[in-house]
Amino acid sequence: MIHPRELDNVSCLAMLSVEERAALALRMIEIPVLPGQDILREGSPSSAAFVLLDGQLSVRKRLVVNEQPYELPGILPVGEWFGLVSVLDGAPASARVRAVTAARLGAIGKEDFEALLRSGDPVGPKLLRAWLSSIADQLQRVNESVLMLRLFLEQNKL
Amino acid sequence: MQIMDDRLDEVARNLRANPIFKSMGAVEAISVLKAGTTMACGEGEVLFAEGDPCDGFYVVLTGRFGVMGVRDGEPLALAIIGPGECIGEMSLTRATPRSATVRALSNSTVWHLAGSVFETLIAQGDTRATHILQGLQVEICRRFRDELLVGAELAARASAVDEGRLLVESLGWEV
Repeated sequence: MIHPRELDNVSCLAMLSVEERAALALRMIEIPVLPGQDILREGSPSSAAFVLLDGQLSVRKRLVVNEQPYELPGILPVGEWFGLVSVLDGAPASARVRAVTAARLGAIGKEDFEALLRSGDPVGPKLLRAWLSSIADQLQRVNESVLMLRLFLEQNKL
Repeated sequence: MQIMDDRLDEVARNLRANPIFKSMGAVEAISVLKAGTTMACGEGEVLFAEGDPCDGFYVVLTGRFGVMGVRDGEPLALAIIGPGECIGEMSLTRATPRSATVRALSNSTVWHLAGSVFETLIAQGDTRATHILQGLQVEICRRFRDELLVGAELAARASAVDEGRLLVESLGWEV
């Protein structure tokens, strides 16, 4: 069970009131994971959106560099949602997420989220807006990375 | 100004040309339309300026708008927005100030959903707010995936040299 206070530090949920976060905590499930356990597999769709409550996770994106496989590391701090785009549009996850240490996740399943949206409870659209805000922040960071990479490739004539 | 009843169908058609409203049926689109107002903008009029606080979003119904920048000291339209396209839709997800100035390039009309109206719809659990957010969801997810594909291709090219690999690893990967 997730204590509502654990959602206080989830960045995008600041948009929800204390009561709404408590209502959301009741709809979420707690998932303990063991070191080495995969939570998302690159190329596979996710049936839930997750938030890291405690512990350490690794992110790896497969690339091919100079015809050799290469795994690009990613970032996943405590309090961040992940798997959002996959659960919202059903497309496969863009990277693998694996537990480095024992960790605790909060999760809400795709079907539970869709039921929440249909219920008429304002927590549904508020959660969707919070998720979209989180994706918009990620999109901005990806835009900035793309600009930096273009500049690097141009400067180095690659 | 409110939309006259005899123009609702026509305006709803314009609205549904936008990806955010595409999945809505005619009845839903008209219902959403009624939550907003239409505004006329004369040529040269500023819809909003960079740094202004956000107040909802707009859909262009007629005419053209320019996203303004400055080149060689002269104001210039860096992007042109026409009928059926949205302006300022990301403000529905977060209340950051406007990132650019938008000016009417011809006599134009827009449909406007005020931020306060949208907040009220959400607080009431109104299905119209959910429909708008679901439309925005499709658009944001598409943009995110498209940009990740570009990012992956550029990251692979940059990683071919040591310096590039260091840069790519410092940027990390979003999931």
